[in-house]
Amino acid sequence: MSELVKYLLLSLGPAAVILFILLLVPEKIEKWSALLWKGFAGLGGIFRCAHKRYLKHDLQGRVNEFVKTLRRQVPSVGPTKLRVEWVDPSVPRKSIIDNDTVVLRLRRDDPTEHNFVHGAYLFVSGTLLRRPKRYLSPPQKEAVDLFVCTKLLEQEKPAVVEAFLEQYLHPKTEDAKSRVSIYVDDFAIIDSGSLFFPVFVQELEYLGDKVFGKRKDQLVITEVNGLIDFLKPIANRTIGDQGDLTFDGEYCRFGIVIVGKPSKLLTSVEPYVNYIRNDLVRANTETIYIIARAENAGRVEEICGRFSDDYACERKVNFKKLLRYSDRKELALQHLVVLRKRGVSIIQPSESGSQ
Amino acid sequence: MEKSTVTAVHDDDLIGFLKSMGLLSDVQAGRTRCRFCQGVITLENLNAIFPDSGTIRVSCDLPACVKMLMHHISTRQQP
Repeated sequence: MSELVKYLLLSLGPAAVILFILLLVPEKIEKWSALLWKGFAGLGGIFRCAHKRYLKHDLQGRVNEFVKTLRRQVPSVGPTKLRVEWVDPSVPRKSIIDNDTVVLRLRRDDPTEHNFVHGAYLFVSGTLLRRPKRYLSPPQKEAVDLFVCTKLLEQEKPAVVEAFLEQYLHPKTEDAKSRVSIYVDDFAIIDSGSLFFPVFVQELEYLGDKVFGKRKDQLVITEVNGLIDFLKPIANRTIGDQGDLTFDGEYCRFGIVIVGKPSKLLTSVEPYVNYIRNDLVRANTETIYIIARAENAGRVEEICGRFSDDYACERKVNFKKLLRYSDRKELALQHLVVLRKRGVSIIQPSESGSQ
Repeated sequence: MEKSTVTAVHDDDLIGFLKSMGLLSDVQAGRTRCRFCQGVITLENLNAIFPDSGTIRVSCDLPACVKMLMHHISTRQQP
């Protein structure tokens, strides 16, 4: 297949190469086309209608690029693409009711980028992470939406982040100590340790995948609170800290293995293999997150290979993380591998022993 | 690839759309209220139009009402 692609590219020339590259990044093309339409719209007159095209491509391009970035960290997030559709102004009222259509107003005059904020927020709330949010409490859901929307804005429209936070996250009229604000602060701490998307959202995804025989909302909500409390100190940990890295909940059972001690790695990977075998596998741990410096990725592969019969490698990802030492901080490239136990039961019993 | 559609009305089409929905005269006369804060809806502050309990409702662009709209949408999409 790759030979065929190579042959076609060589025979068709540089234009085909450029076209091929562009096809790999449709979101970028959409963002560029948005800029083009924005330019046309600025001319006014017969180009007034270009504004609609600008809004559509700007929103689609930026949101879809964020989803693409997010899926690199959490591949199980659905491959959903945003599509903006303009409503036909003459559509019958009955059709809007029958199709249960929510129509968002997008403005021509929008100096504060409300069009983008509202469109992105609507997409995040209604579609993105819908499955992981299924069993959360209203404040937990709202906090996830606000936090993820903030991350989207930080990446795609950094200029509006401050206004968004002021208006939606910390409105002066609301209690700063509301559950939502506390959750969002907690998520920020977890994210500072680069654990929000790769671990927290991933665990919510696994939770959302499970079909509960009889939903026990309060138990799940409590478990999510426990998950947040568990991840916060890990996100803040200093290199060398010896905290608990195993979460043994009713529905989420995972362990984090930090492969880092040079003294252990210099000899062999056996100390890690033994820990995983004796402490995690025996405890029926469903997911194992192995984190190491990127230069130790080979040793991590070696460790994973020892458990390939029981655990499937869900993904490998590199990301930058601020490592905290007792005397300094260092931004380092990290390597994360997620191992998921094969044959994890999807259907959870309605009643458990703890009830 | 799954697609999620956000349906929108542009300012250029707003009057025509509100007319089709049978809302224009009420909005212009200040007789329409926000579904969430009960404030008066105008052509300036209108933010969304959506079905609710068999009729068409509208909401305003106050951040609190935008949040309530998102909550409303996310709640009705529960399995």
